[in-house]
Amino acid sequence: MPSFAIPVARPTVHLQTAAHGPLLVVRPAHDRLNAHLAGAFRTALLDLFESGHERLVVDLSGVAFMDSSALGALVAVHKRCVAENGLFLLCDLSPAVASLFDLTRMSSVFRIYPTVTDAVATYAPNHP
Amino acid sequence: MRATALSIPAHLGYVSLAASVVRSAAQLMNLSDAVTNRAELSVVEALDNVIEHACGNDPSRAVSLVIGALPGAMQVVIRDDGPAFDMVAAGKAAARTDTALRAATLPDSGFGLALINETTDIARYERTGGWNELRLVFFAS
Repeated sequence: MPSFAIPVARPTVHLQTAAHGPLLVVRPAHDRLNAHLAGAFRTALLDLFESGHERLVVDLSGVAFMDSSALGALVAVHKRCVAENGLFLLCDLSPAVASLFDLTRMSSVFRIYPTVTDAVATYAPNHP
Repeated sequence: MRATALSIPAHLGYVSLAASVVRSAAQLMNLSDAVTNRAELSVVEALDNVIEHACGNDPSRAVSLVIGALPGAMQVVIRDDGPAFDMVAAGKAAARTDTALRAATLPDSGFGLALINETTDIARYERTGGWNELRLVFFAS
């Protein structure tokens, strides 16, 4: 690659977390979740699950765009949660992200809530 | 007026750069948000596949995009010099998105080709002179 190429940093995922009783709400601090980040995203979510946070809510309100690789990361975590009797919820999908879930028919696989408040009210009503 | 051309290294880190150019081009052409979103997703899925499978995620190789207007449509042509695209192998690798599947058997990859077909009005692949050329057309309405 020529020396004037635009450098690409190693993919690092930044997740903001907030506990609501038994739920851990995880908010990716990225407006795009794509193939470049998907592996790190999957690992970060699985690390949270393995560290004892077995009831995860992923708040996608800040994600304007997602590709199928990032969707695959969510599917992998969902499968792990189901296999180990955990809970994996998604909320606040942008129109573009919701469209991805519809096109892949994954909108009927995941439990998807309009907002974090709705998810928390359903599964941790005493911990708003 | 000339078409807009862009060449990126074959590395997944550059796909968002190309996607932003496609999105901006769609907005310049006054395409609706829905069509713009479809075009962006289609091009990203195509580039992900080209970079991973045709170019081996090797940033010393290049993938080129030419974005232009057709009457009532936007066209994006993606070219690379990787091995020819294997339709049969790609079909076999495609995810089966049957919601009746149990969680344990849900696919977590292989959605790309189906998404390109779902989001693109015309998708044509050609192998010419050692190049793969994927032509994607998105109608304005």
